[in-house]
Amino acid sequence: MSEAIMAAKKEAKRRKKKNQAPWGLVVLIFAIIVALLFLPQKNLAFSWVIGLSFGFVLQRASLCFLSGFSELIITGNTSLVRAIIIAIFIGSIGFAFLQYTTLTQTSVLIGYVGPVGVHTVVGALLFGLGMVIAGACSSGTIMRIGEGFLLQIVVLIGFMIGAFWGARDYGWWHDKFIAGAPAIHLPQVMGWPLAIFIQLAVLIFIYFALLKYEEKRF
Amino acid sequence: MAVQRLNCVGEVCPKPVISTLKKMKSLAVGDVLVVETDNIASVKNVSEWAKKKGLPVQTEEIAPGEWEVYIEKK
Repeated sequence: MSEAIMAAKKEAKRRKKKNQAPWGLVVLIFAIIVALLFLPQKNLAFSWVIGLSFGFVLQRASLCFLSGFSELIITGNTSLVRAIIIAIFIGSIGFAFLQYTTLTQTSVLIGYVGPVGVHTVVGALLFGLGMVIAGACSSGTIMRIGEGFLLQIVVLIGFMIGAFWGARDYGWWHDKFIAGAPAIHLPQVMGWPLAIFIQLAVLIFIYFALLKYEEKRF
Repeated sequence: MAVQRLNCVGEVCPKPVISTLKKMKSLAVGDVLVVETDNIASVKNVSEWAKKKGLPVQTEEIAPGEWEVYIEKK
């Protein structure tokens, strides 16, 4: 360990740290009781447990889409973006499996295969701008409220207004801009094996390109 | 050796990491920068950047939801 850091630490004044473990236990017991109460409605209990675990993992990993992408540009650290790529990689395999099995058994295509067009680009740009101003993406906002980061409560209010407003006028936007755009489901265009292969190959390529890029920056 | 503090409490990413990068330039070799933040993502950003640069770095949670990141300039 660095001696300079040790010395700097000694210099720093320390407040007494509060022990939050008892509160953690209370919250955990509360979460289990709620899960048990909703056990008869399986979907609700399942969503509750999955939602809580998801939040826990997000917080522990401090996985944040915003910092992932801003890191890429500011410091050149690509570890978060690579984590996102790995998540998409695993998600692609799982989703392909689910879609394929339900499609062959019930001929229903699960998942949202959305129309692609200029509206996607405009939406992504708006989301990106908002993300930087707010200091978090949507999951990040909710996670940070749980951490006690007060600014994000203000963001959540804006988030809710935007979401409700968007939902209210969605029909109009859809008719004017989205309805004409094509919805492309790759497996139906080029067949399952090729579609999965291309998807995974592109992700692997991006992953290693990011590694190379990081090496260059550091 | 001098110790410099950078108060980033209440700031959201990517601001703390930008300020850290700027501040590090003004430090002399052997100096220590203490970045104070209450944003866990910034703790990760800043300490990972320092690690990848090969600088000695340490993180301490000084209070629930508040951290100090110590970086030595080399």
